[in-house]
Amino acid sequence: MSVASRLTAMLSVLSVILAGILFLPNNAGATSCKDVTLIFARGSGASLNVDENQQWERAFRRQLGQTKAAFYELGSQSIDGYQYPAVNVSDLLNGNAIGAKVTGGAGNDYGKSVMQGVQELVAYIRQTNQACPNMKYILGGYSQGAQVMSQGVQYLAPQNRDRILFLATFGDPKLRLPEGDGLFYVPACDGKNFSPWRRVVDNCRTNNGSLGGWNPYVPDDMRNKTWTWCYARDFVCGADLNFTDNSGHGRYSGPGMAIDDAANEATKRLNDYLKSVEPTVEMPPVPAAAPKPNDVALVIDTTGSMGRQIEATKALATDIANRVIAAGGRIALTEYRDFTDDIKAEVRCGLTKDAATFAAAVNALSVDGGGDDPEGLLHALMTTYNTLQWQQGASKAAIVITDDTYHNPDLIDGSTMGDVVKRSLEIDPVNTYVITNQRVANSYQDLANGTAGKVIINDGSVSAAIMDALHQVLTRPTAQLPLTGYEGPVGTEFKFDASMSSIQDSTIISYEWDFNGDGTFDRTTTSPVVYHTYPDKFDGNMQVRVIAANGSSSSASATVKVGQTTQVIRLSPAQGLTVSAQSAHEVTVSWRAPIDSAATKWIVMFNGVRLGYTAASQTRVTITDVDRTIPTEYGVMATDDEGHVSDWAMVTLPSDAPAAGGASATSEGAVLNRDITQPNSPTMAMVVSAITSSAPSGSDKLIDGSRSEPVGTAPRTEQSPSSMPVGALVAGGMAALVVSTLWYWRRMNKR
Amino acid sequence: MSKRAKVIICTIGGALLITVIGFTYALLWTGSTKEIVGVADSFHIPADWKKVSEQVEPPRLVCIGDLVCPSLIRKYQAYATISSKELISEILPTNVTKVNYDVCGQGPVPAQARKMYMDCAADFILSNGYKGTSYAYRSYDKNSDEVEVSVSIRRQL
Repeated sequence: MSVASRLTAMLSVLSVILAGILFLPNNAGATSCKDVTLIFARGSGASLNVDENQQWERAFRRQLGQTKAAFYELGSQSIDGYQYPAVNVSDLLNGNAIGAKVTGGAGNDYGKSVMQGVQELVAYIRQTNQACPNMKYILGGYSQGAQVMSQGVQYLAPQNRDRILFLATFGDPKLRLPEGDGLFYVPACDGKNFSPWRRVVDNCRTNNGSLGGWNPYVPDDMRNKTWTWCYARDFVCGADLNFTDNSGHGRYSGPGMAIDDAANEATKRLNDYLKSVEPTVEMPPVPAAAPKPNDVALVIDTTGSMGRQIEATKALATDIANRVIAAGGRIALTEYRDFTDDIKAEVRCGLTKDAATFAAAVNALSVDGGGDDPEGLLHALMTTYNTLQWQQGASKAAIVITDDTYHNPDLIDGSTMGDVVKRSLEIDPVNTYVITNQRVANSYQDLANGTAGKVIINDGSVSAAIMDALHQVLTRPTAQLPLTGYEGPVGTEFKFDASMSSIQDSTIISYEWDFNGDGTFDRTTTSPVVYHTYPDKFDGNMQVRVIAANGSSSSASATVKVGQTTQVIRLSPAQGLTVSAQSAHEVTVSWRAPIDSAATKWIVMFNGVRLGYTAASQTRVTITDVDRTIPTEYGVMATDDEGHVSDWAMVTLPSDAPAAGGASATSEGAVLNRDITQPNSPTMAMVVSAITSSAPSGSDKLIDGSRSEPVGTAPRTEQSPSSMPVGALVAGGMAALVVSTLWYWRRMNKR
Repeated sequence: MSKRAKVIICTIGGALLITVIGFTYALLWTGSTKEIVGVADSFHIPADWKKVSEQVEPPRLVCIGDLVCPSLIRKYQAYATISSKELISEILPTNVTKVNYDVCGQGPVPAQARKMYMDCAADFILSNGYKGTSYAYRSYDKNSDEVEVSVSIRRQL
């Protein structure tokens, strides 16, 4: 078979593969949203993903079939700073069991643990609601985790509770069954007045869990969606008053026991729901995760040593261009050689959607020169980065094809690897993939790491290597940060939030954070949100690299200015600043640029805290998690690249009822000025203090840049957690033990 | 106070003290974990498997928490090309009297914040009064042979 026919055959196969990659249906983004997410909370002292959680997942796996589902276990990641620890109560010396008993499960480390779980649940549902508005939830919890769930549904806003199909609690210490009340006549023992949530409760006299029951156990709208199990000899949920025999408490996860029973019922309800919406309701088109266009630059080494593979490379480059363009992207071409050559680095084709233009540029490539082994790649990358008109919001990638190393620093323009990485990040970044041979692959690792790209080994088949690179570019996640820049005084705790990042047909599993843009990732999290404080002045970039389960990755970057206070008022302020409430916790801030505006960025402020920049062309932002039960203040200020600023345009949105939306306020004709040379004004200081102390006051709730408290209704029967002296706990615990023993003794005698 | 009254008070006080001490001792007593650890050690874990975590709950007179007393959970990281079911069957100890495999090889279901998905489960009963469950988790990356195996053991109730 000739080389040409081999290449043709190879291209045919690759075309089929690429068609699968590129020509996804328009609603492919919907595949990342599931029909249902199954959330579980483990019991006290248990590790993540053991026993009950494993049984929960397994029981559902048996039955889910083709249903699109995902599992989440509370505590497996930090969400808005909340992560359920499931503190241990087995060790009586740590005081958690006594503390839980004395405070009714609300205080001590136990109560704090439960609250972490509640807050994580609320934050998780709030965040996933935004991403997948049609998704449903099935909740389950064991023991302490059951309390988290029965307490958590009280904290959820009613519209979020509507999304819950089923709640299962196993051995809940806060169980409440009114039919078990009574000294002489107990309705449940007569088979009467059963609560709707009662599934298997072995002792008809069970009325309250060991920590006292919620009253009512669940909100009214959850009554018929909740089932509870409380086996015999379970002291925790109140089936047995003898705390020395708790052997029934560990039986829920056995084969065919409560967790399996719950999965059967929950799956039935899920299937009923899915059937009910399928034939009769035309599902509104789920907004697909807007396919982010790709700007891809091919950077090809055309020195003499590339002679053997240049024709195959040219053919494949043309094919790649066609496919990138067909998928809505743009393609560019740079060729480069070295400092001794006439051609050093030339952009042969700017970013274009015209396949013919690109093909003509590629066909004109020829090889020559090179001189010494290293080539002028760093100069070529700087030329590519700086010359191309990158599209704002596009995923950007450069694919380098070379067979040799590079000069560092470059002998043409003196660029260093650090300069290239920095410039890449400034542009958003441009993820750089290098296709090269095994011999020199290691020399490119820093470049790939620094720009969140990859090194792909060309082991003799340049076509396979190129397609591998293209596949990674096109199937990688979309990393996104909400702001293009962050600014604040030294000591400010910045919130970097990459939760808008997404991927089709895979799952994001971790986030890597480079806070100072040096290409070294300082922290890895499973949560998309981190908080970081810069101890000194800083003017540079940060980046987040998003890692997907399929091994792909991409990054997003933003500028960070810390402690930059030299500002001169020269620019015209924003006009027509308007704040509109979109919902109970979300507002949109919009404004107009004045006709003489020289602003290159807009700084957005909320309640005295600068949230960050927007580009000059973006005059509208949405701020989520706003506590509208208090008046809130918004500001916009123009700035330029030299640090000049305008006066603040400001507006205050009055407080509103929690459920209300639609209110608005405008600053038209009422622009307020502020002394911006004093960043530590009382307003700023107050808010920053509230952020760092996380005090549960209204001012630190739900602002973008601070930690959040749960939204929705407060629990109806909870007292606030408090720290109790150990002595009081011990004394209270002993008293409780004596009272329990006497009560039990009297009750047994009456039986 | 008469001598007789003093004797009665001292007797009652002593009895109460002994009761409180005995009660406290019973509450706090924990037994040896040697036996259940020995059961876990009887599994045929290959030498190149890496134990990544272990949680042991000792026997207690008063088992008030959410963990069964005694119980043990170990997790291992390994690399293997054989199926998860074969993998679990190879590590089970010789005194297994019954084993029931479940959900083996059904393919991945997303689980957020975890790098691996459940690929096989096996409930087993041992002849020495213990029972347990073993799970095998596989990587979402089809090209990876990485596997995580958990072994959970508890005394039969």
